[in-house]
Amino acid sequence: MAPSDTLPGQPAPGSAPLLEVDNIDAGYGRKRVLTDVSLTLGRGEAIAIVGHNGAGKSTLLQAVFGLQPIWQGALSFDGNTLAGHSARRAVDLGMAMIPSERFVFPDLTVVDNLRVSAAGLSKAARSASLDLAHGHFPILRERAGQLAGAMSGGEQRMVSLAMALMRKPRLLLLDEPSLGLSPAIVEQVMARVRDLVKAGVSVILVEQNIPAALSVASRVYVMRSGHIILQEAAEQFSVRGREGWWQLF
Amino acid sequence: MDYWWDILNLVLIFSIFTISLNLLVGYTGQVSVAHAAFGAVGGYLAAYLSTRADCGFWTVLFVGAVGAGAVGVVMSVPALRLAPEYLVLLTIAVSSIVLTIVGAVPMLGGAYGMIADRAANLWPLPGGDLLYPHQWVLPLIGFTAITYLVCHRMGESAWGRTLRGIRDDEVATRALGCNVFAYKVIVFGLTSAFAGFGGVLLYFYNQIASPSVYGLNVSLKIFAMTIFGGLGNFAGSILGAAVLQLLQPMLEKVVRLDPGHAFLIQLVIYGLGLVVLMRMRPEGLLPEGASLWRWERPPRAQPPSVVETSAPAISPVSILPSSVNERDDAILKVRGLSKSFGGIHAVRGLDFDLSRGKIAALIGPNGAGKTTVFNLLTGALRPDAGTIELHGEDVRGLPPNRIARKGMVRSFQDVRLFGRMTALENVMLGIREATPEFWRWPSGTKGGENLVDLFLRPAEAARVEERTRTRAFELLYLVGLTNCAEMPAGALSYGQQKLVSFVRLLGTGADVLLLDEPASGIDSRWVDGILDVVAFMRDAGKTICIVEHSLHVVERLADTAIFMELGRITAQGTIAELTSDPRLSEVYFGTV
Amino acid sequence: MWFQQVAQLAVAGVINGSFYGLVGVSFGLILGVTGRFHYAFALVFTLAAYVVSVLESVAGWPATLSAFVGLAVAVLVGVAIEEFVYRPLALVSGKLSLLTVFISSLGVTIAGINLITLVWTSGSRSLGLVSLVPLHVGNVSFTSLDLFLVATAWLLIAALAGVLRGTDLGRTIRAVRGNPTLARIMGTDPARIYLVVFAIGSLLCGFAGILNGARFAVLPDMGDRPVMFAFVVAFLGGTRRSPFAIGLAGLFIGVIESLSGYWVSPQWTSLVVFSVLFVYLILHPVDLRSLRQALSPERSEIRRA
Repeated sequence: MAPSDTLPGQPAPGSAPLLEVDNIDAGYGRKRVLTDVSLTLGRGEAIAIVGHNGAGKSTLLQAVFGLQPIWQGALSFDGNTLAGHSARRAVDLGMAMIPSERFVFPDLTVVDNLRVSAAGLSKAARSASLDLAHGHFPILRERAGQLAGAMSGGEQRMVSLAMALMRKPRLLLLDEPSLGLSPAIVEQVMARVRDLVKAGVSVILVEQNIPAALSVASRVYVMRSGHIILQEAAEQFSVRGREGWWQLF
Repeated sequence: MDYWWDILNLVLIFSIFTISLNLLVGYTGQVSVAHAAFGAVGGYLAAYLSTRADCGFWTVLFVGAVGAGAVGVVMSVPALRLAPEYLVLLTIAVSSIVLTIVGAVPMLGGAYGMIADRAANLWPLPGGDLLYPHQWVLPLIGFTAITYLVCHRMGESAWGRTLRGIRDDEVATRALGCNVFAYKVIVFGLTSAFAGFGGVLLYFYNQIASPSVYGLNVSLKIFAMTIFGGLGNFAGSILGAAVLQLLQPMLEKVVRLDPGHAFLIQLVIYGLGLVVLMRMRPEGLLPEGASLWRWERPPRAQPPSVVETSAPAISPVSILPSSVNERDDAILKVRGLSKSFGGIHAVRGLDFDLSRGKIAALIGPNGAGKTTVFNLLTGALRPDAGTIELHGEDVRGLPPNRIARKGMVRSFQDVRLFGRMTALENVMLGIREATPEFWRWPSGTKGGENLVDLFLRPAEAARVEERTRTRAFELLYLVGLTNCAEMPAGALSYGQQKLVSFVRLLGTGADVLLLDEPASGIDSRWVDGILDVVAFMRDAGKTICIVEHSLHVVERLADTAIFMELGRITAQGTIAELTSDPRLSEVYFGTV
Repeated sequence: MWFQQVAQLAVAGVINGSFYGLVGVSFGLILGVTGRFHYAFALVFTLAAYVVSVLESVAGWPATLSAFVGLAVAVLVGVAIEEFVYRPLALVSGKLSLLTVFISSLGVTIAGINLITLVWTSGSRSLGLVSLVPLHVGNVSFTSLDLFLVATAWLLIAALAGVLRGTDLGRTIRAVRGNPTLARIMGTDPARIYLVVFAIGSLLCGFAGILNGARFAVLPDMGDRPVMFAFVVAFLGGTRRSPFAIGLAGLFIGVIESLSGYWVSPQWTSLVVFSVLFVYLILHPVDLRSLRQALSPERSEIRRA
């Protein structure tokens, strides 16, 4: 990406963390899904959350984004305390999220998907974002009039990335972007995410595919049965190898 | 004075409607606004037969009730699979169809209806023609009492427990071995028969059968009465009928409105009352697993009660008899199991065995098809190909309740206890004593779950109930939850709920237990206790298969692991063997 | 000879069908986007007609002005029902909001219709909209009102289709309809969109009520059949499809109903329609389940990892 196209939020070394999660508990009904979970995210950092299916990774993302109520604990984003917030507030503060499933509007065309994601922005801002999106993802211009539901999984993922970027977020929450994709496509998607990180967007990546996560993140959190059991730099985690990873799942 | 006798009579007649509707809506959770239309079937049958065919009172009463019941049965069949809101829509459609027919067929009098040519006469009972309101009082009390007794017996018995299970969670009830469809059809038929019964009485009382007597407005009025009185409470149904029937007289006598205005205002009050009631007591209408405690912040998990698995006072053999003595250890044999959805193979060519006294774990990456396997084994999904041999018999294609009876049951990821029933009742619902006599219908078991024992052999039903209760208590004792026996299951902590769901499965007597994520969602202090119970079940000779995502848990519990990827089984063995296989590691953790 | 009869019936079918298309489209918009089984549609329908009729006969206002006020009342009442009755109830009822909202909708309708009867009596009223001029094409006859109905119904359907396709608001509505959770993730407030949808739907519904009152008579129970037809047409047309598809479904129903009048007497034709609904409900329980899932915006559809 050319420097002139960089998105705001360049990493400033030594500054306060962008996101702080302090000892949160959360669940559905009586079922407990998160217990005493804490993490921090620096500006311009990319971290990965890995763990077995059902460990609570998605729930953690949803709690940060305001889609999941928190039973106990505290959240703060860029100095703003978040409690009982809505997704709307999260978006206004500069977060964006891409869920693991149903991440495009299938009945709408590609360009309409982008327009809807920019609803509420001024015409000028929306145009600028659209141009930027077309620049990064040429496929969008080619397929502007195609129904998003008719595209392949990988193409839809690209559209969803572009949608998330329409409002120039500072924090991007990605829930299992590799789900259902072949290794080659996964690599393409991760390459895009790396570009975003280089441009200064902070990223929290929830993944089951650990090598893919490690290709993006500088730090890794491991979750198991609702707890965070480990936090490590990506290289150290990588060194453990698969035999080591089995122990943690 | 006749004025007040008249009101009492109408209260009694409407009570017949509300009591029967309560059995349908309050106990079984099937919301219907067609109740008055079934009354129309009864009333018009009575009108036609008594004016054109010269039939006597008792004959037309019988024919009217049976006719309405038959229509109810016919309506219930398409209704069996409908979601609640669509069921209401169906009942509105049925109501409209019935009323259009009776309003359009010329020989039924069209929009003006049919006028009676004689009064009701209870011969051979004394009393002569029932011409005046005060003459109707005693007979109506008798008829209402019959309705009350029958419905009460059904609702407050083992039969009623099954109905409430259907109301709270139909899927879980079926998975425990109940033939839900049969119960629904019977209840629909019976309650519409009572509505027809009421319709006949209404015809003779008003001396006319016309579409407006049985219109949608009337059905909604009956519905409102039933809700006001309290769902699940038959005495309340009578009270609700009384209160709402008194609305118009009160408006006329006390507020001194003229009858026309009183009628309209009464309807306005019903309408607003329905709206307010929905706000205040939506739980009165919730048929499926809804929790009253949804919005409450759950308290910090209570300290776990002592989980006594090492020293139960009752020996395991008497608690958990296995159904068949076999030399072959492989209780379940699956060969070539396949299922695809619209071109995508969810599961392909699965071959595996489950052995007595062993725990097998299904593991694999996301989307490997593990949950689909459970659904196929228990009959929730129909396989495209393959065989499922349980105790040597192929159970492929059987519905979930039949497979449960043959000895294979499952737990659910989200527990699915019946929140409004006590823990004890939850366990009791799983327990049944199968018997081969064909007349023990529809459940094929002893006791209040079959119609014959329920009505004709109450002593036997009571004995069976007592045995069921004792056994359920023993099972709760096994996991140290006897002090929670009378608490509503929805009030228990998540871990306690999981334990109750396990012993509920034990109560079915099934040999094969499929446990879906047994250790998920529980406080870490409880996990050991839960795992101990599962291990105990294995040691008692059960055949267990679990789906678990945490390999940590699998390692502690499972004897063998079955690795699935993209719908196929690609490896079986111990956990140590599987995790040391580099190819499996790549599949599990992914590559780039 | 029979050809002329059939042609007359077919034309009547097209006229009625255009009306059914209009009510189907407005009901389907509300059902598809918000998931509410809005039985009180019948109330909004009837109320608009009454307002116009009363303003014309009691206050002597001209038709256009009365219609304007009637439509405004329809919009206000429809939006108020969503804001004060449906939404608070849906928040409390969770998974079963579809059912409880439906029941409360029935309650609102009973209360409202009987209030109307209290205030304005159950006597039949008239409503004048356009001057009635008999017209004919060949041997088929109809009136200027019929022509007005067909023209305006399809104009409104086309306008709605245009809004949904080409405006920001329309795109957002379609987004909320197709994937409400994702819409929320993108920062849209579904509640606000629901109010807009109820406003648009009530506008079209009120218009249909006024047309109906002009064609026949203004009576308290005039909404009973139209709301049933609206259900049927919306289901048949498919709530996720373009208004034109639903409009065509309405035409289909109208023509079927009309042509069946060739063989059976008029009282039985509505039976045909209810039977279509009945058969549809029997045959498609699976489709309905996925429809229901799509229609439950209050439920989070995000799965946990």
